[in-house]
Amino acid sequence: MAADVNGKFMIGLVSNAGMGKELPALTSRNETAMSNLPLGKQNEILVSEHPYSASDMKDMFDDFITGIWVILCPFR
Amino acid sequence: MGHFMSISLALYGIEGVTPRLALKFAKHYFACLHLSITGAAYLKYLNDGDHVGDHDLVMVEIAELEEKINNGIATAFRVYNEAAGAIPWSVSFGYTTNDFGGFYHFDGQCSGDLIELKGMISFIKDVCADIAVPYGMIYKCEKVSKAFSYAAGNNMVTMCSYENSSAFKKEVPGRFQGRERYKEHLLRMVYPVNVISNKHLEIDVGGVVLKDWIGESVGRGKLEALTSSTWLWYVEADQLEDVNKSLGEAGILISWKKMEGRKRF
Repeated sequence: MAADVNGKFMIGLVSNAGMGKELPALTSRNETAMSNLPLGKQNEILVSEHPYSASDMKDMFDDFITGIWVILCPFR
Repeated sequence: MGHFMSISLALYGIEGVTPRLALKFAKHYFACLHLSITGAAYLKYLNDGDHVGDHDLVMVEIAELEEKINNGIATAFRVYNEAAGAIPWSVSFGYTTNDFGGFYHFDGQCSGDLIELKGMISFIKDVCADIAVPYGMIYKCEKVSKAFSYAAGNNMVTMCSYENSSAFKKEVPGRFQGRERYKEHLLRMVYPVNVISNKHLEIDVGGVVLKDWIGESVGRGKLEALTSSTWLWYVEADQLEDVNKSLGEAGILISWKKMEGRKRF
């Protein structure tokens, strides 16, 4: 697990062999961690299974950025 | 339309289901799919975790899971069938409660296609004969892991390009304390098979109730009554886009996203 200095982004790594055990708890553990923050500081939790697929990563971040856009501009 | 590799279900509003009954349903799910349970796990809070509410999965045999459920030690759980090379599993059924960062729902995934779809429909019919399920769906997805995330609205997974990837997450209980309007007044999206109630069928679609809207034109699927209050609404794959578009524009889909003018980065 790695986190940036502001605690805004965290990255966790799981191997294929550990997916069956890790996947169900991976998101839920981060859900409980984030739920300790004020609601306004909470955001999305993303799991990428394709760290080396540029197109999959781009699709995921496109969705993420579009989500931010909607949050910032609710009345547009 | 791509080649789908997994059939999945999600059933919401199951607050009245005990862990013991959930395990009975889990076993029946595998029976409907003619598959065996090869592994099980339950969630457990950690005393020495990283944060308040930290937890982990405890892997057990199905017999031990049953014992822990009967003793009140285990609540939320997952049972699965692990085929060689399947990541994370080839078949899975999960019971999630309002603990462990979740909210009450069942999720099920299965690698496969038509035969598995029939098995899942059969399972849902049996569940609905036992308990009232206010809302749910069967959906098709290329990957089991993606389908797993979609059930809880996690990981910004979408089933189609005209779907808002984070809207459902804001609607469910849990972190965002959502209003759960999908239980009565709205639909998440429209799927190949939709579990809906009489209340959903009374939703106003441009001056017509949903039940009449479905019946007044071809290409809007067909309804099958399961109980006096629960229905299955089947929509063919080639009708899904038009049905979603119509109902999305009518404002009754939680996750509908207009495509016009939306810039892709």
